[in-house]
Amino acid sequence: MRRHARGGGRRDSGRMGKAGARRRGMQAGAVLLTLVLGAAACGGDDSEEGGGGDGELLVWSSRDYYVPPDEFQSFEQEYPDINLNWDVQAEDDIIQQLLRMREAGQTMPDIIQDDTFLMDAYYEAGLLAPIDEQMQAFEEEEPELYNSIMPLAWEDTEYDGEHYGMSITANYDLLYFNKAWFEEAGVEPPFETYDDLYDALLQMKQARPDQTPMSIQALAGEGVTMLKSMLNSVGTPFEGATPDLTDPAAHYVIDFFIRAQADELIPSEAVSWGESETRACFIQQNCGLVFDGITTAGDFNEVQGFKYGSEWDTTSLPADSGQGHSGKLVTAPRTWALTVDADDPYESSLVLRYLAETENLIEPLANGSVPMRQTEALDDPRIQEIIPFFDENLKEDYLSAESMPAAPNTGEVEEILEQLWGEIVQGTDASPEELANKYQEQLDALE
Amino acid sequence: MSVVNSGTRPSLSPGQRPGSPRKRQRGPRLDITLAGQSKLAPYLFSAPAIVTVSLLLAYPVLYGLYNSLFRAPSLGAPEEFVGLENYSDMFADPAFWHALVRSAVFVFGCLILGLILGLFFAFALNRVIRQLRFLRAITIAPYIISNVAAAVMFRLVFNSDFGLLNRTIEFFGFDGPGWLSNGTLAMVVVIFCQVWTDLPLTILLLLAGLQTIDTSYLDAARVDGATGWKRAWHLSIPLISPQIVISTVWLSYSTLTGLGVVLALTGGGPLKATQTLPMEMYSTAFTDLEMNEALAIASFILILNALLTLVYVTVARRYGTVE
Repeated sequence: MRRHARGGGRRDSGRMGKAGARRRGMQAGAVLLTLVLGAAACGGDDSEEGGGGDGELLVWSSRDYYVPPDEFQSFEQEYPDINLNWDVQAEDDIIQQLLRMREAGQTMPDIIQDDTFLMDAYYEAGLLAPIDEQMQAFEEEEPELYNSIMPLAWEDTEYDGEHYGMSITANYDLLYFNKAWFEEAGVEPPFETYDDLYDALLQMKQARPDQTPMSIQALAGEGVTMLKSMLNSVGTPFEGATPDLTDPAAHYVIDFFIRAQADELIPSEAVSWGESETRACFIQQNCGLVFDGITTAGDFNEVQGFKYGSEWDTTSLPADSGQGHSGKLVTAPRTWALTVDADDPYESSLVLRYLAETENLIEPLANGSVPMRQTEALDDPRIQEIIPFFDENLKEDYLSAESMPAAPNTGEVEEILEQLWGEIVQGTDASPEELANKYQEQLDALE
Repeated sequence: MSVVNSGTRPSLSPGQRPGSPRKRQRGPRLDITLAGQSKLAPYLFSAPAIVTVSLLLAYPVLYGLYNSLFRAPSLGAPEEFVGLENYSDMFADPAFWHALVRSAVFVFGCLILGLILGLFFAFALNRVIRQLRFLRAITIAPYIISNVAAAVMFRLVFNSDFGLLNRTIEFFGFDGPGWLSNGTLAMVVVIFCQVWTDLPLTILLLLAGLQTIDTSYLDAARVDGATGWKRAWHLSIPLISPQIVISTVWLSYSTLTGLGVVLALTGGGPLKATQTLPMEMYSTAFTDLEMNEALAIASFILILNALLTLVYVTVARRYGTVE
């Protein structure tokens, strides 16, 4: 096993006494360089070949922390005939790279990992291979491990009756709160409804009038997750990735934030806030509450004098508005999938099994990965050491959560929702219905 | 183009006197230049460079233009030739016109600020005493910093809550504005940041021009009683006008195609207030996953750049700044 090495080789040069010899040397070097460049342009290097069926596998991950800490060594020990290369493509452009490779006639990697909401686009582009046969073999050969995987892990990438990937991990967004702020304001989580949450924010504002109760992010490209999560949690209907903003549940969400902005419960400058600014506001204790992914806890705990249990704690979002709207909490899963260039799907599926093993899910979690959809791992006591706030209540919420609705046009939908979100956060005189109609028109215009 | 003397000269034929007309030789006519080389020689020697530039620069551009005439009915599906449909759709899209207006504000803001600051620093560095000449080298520092890194740095500086700028303003008892949450201010900030990253080259170009000015002109003007301002306005600036034109072309190109600063600083926000053409191209390609449509925008940016350069050079010629 080796990590795919990038870049060229080393070039040595000797010294020759005579100009002619030097010139000949340079000419030879130029010819050699031309040949090397020509060969590279025509064929690429061997490690890019993927080479399914010949004991060669190439795995691409979107982030380094999703790769098991032993870097597939135990996999190669178990399957000595398989030579596995892996690489991290962290530029969020794996799908574009695969399309380019296919157009250029290059062999794509055997296995890729990416955000599940992009899998619809992968499927539509014909980049994924169905894995139903491999799932069946998995179930027959390793029933215990197979049955520990939550069905949702397979269902997320089910298209036209076939399965195309394993969403074995999923991020889960939580409300992180400042314990001192809550105590001062007399607020006691969890929140049963969003009306309760709103009341809590008002109490926090009364206790600290000069500060902002809730930190949010609304920077274009980063900040629409909370809006989407909340729309889901109050039962807004979605068609693919597109929410029905004209639904009363969506009106409730829009109204919640319009009021929150008017009451100065959220910062208007958050329209330019990404993850960093949002977290900084909470860490600096300028904001008392923040909605963020479960793995952010590790970052918070690294801050001097700001520790879990004494300074901050977590609670789930409610799944009820308090005014008759209820829905589901959602997670943001990551999927491992086989590409159509995986010549030996069985060999490739062995990698999926390896990635689903408890050890290979827990250790990455400690390195920054996200919780797993595998019950044996979720019950492992080490989880409590890594994310101590992941108690039974939270685990129950996580297990019952659904995946964020997605479609090939997720990006376009999010662009429109970002404008809606930005308009709300910056402050608007429009009513929830007016805003909903304005942006629903744009959503409906999408192909 | 200068002609290189090869050191050889045609030999005289038997019986021919120096200076007398040379007899016309029979047989195949050799196409010989004064240098004694074939007329093809310059082209042959230039061929490697021409081929390399064509492969590395011209081919991708032409391929991009060609691909902008196609469209995939769905992601990954075979592309179909649609002619100029991507362009007609682009011109019919209000988001494109919005981005074009934002780009115009961004480019001309950067041009004005960049040229004013560039001239200011170039004049200052031209007059700097020997012991402080290291400042000229330091000036290049922003240019060697990645513009994305610079944008992240400025995002911290301009943060309304904990940014250095607002903290300083607060120190003096005032409330700082939301630099990045207000559309107008956000555009000012991205212009400032883009100019900060592009300024060193502008300064170097203008400084190089100033240093080529014959000091006797300036001395003569000084003897005639011209003040420093008048010497700069009536003498130095006209004399470095070719460098000003080059700086204008460079700044215009750099800002019209610049993506990193806007992407890392505002992401095109707030509410698309800084959504320039490259940002529109980026989101079309990587968010909407519409590559051919994005190539149409890229091609438009290319043509716009060429037209703007033509305008600058034409204007400069009209005023006799460049030949």
